Formats: sequence, C-alpha cells, structure tokens
Amino acid sequence: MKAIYYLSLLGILIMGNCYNAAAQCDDKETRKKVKAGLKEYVFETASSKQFNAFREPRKVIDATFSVYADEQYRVLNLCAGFKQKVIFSIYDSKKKLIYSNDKNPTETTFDFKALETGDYTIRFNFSEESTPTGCVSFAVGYKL
Amino acid sequence: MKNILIGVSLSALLFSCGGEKKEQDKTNSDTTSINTDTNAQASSAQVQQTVDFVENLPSPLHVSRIFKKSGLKYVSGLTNKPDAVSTYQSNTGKSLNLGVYSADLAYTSLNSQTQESVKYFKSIKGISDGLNMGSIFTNNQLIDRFEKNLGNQDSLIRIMAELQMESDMLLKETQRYDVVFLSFTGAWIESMYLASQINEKQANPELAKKMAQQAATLSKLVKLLDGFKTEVSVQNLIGELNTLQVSLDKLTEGDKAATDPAFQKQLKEDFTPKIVALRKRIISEA
Repeated sequence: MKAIYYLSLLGILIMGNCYNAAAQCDDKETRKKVKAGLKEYVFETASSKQFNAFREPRKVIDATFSVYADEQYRVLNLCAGFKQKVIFSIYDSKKKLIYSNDKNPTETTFDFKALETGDYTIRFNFSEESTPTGCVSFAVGYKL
Repeated sequence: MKNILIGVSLSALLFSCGGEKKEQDKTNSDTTSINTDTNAQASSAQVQQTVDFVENLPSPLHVSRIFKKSGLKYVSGLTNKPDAVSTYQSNTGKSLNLGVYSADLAYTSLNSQTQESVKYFKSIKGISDGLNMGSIFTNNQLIDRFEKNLGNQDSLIRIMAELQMESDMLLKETQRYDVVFLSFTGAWIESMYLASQINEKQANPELAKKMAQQAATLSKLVKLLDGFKTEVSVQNLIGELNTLQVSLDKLTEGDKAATDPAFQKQLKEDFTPKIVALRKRIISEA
C-alpha cells in the first residue's frame, strides 16, 4: 500500500514538473530568433517570460532598457504563441511614444538612434483573450 | 482502491511524458544544477522578480566600446591578473570578478592585444566554471572560435557579444539575478577604473564626459543590487557604490563642461581615488 502511495505521489510530482516545463518560453528558439533578428547589431540585452507568470491584469506589460546618447539600437519583439495580435510600442526616456506596430502588427523590429542617455520602455499590449501559455520576449542590440 | 491508485500513478507518469520535446531539450546542461542552487538561495527580491520583467542593464562590452570610441587607449599593466581566478572563492567574489575579467577582455580586444585577450577569455571560462556556467563555452566552442579569429576584430567583438548573450540569457532563465547584477557591477567598476587611469595620465574631456554619463547606469545598478542586500558583502558594496554616485552626481551638477578645469579636478581628486580603492578591494577579495 505504501509503495502505491509513493508511486502515486511520484507520478503527480512528475506530471506537475512536466506541466511547468511545457509552460516555459522556448530558450533555444529565442536564441535563434535573437541572432537572426539582430543581424549586424550586437547583443545588448534580452528578457523572456511566460505570459501567465506576470501579475494580473496582464493587459499591459512593460520592460525597460538603458540607452546611451548617440548610439544606434535595434529592438526585437520576440513574443510567441499568442493567437491575438500583440501591440508592441517603444517610449523614450521622457515617456514619449516613438514607435508602435499598431498599424502593422506583423512588424517585429524597430531601429532608432538614442538622443540622450536614459531608460527607454518597451510596452506590450495584449487583448482580453491572450493565450496564457504565450511567451513575452524581446531583445535589444546596438550598432558597431 | 489499489487499482485506482495504480491507474492514477500510471496515468500521471504517461501524461508527464507527453510534454513538448523541444521544451525538454534545454539549451544549457548547467540549468538543472543552477535551478536547484538558486531555489535554495531564493530571496524575497528574487521571488518578486518573477512577477515583472526585471530592469535591463547595458552590456559591459558596449560600455567598453563607448569608452574606446572616446579615446580609451591601451596601457599595459592596468588590467587584473588573468591567473587570479582561483583566488575568488565566494559567489560574490566570483561574480564580481567575472565582470572584471569581461571588462579586461573587452579592453584588450578592442585595443588589438590579442595574446592578452586569449588569457582573459580563458579566465572568464575558469570563473564561469566556478559559477556553473561552463557549458556556455563548450556548447558554442567559444574558445576555439575566439583563437581562430584573433586577427579579425569584428569577429572577436561578435564572439564576445555571443558570450555576453549566452551568459545573460542563461542567468535570467535560471533567475540568477544576483550573478547578473554583480558581474555587471564588476565590469562597470573595472571599466571606470581603466578610464580613470587613462584620464589620469592625460586628461581627456570626451572620455571624462562619457564617464560622468555613467551616473545614470550606476543609479540603476544600485537599485537593482538593493534586492540582495541581505548578503553583507553586497550591503558593503552598495555603500561604496553610493559614495561613487555622490562623486559622479557632482560632476553632472550644473551642466559643467568636461573641458572645465573644475570638472577634471572633481574627477581626479574625488572620483578616481574612490574607484581605485574599490577596484583594489574587489580584485583582491578571496
């Protein structure tokens, strides 16, 4: 009886573990997309996280990254696994909107030259029915 | 009852094997050990960081390149000893000096000091092994590729950037934000130390201006490290970084031009001695 109890427990633990693994962003795929998307730009930073790991309500998710004046940057929207469109916007250090893919949701890249040193914000807007297992992900590169 | 339990167990086991293969095929073999280690050390700050995106710091290589573009010349003997890897025993010491070596690698590579660069690349490999990140090198054949491209600076920069990408992504995936922030701190201190030494030898207003602009990065860094101040060594480090912040803020007060003699005086007499002392303590930490 004891053995059956432990076997059940083990099965449930493994099932839970695999569920978590399946809910993760695909790290290998993200690396491939970063390399392919940055092209001539050099890696600066990147972050990825499962959509349902963010606090609710998950309609707007922000991420910040540092820029230095006069440097040229590329931002990649690497969100994956969402059935609805994800609006991807960039705000400068004064919180002024400098880019949005609202009109063209398939666009995933934005290049710009920073006018001053500071923190820029990437904002992702999601619809009500966004897929909980989607991955929220971005990368930033700079030009040599 | 017995049959039901057996049924549940077998179903659970079978169900568990149905996950996506690509998710099981982790990029880096170190991940499992790191996860275990990190869970054991998880602080409240780390738990909070699972809710939102953690703020992103610039790449240490980028900071070095900005300084290089502003006239950071090569002077031998300024960098840390490449063979000091084994002297760093604590997690904090290893993380900080991973950053110091990253900045030294960037400094020597950007100044075409190829033999020195190879030594620093190997130092980074050694210290990464100590932080359970060694697979980054083996999975991507980084050392071989670095040695084969010694004559091509553009390729070296790309390989260093790949090393930066693999480290950054692995550490974030495994939520080892302490290592992310401490290694950046080490790289930042080393870059500022090298810049201050070059400026000390010959005043360079353009370089001095770029150093002053680092006040924003330092402010962000201190906030991020604050989540790990339960560690005494991190708490002490934050105190020292705060004194550097005061010095850098004085440089940016009132929009002083970097050509202003008062700017150079402030930099040389206030900031430089502090960064020299802090850098000395970090590279000699056992």
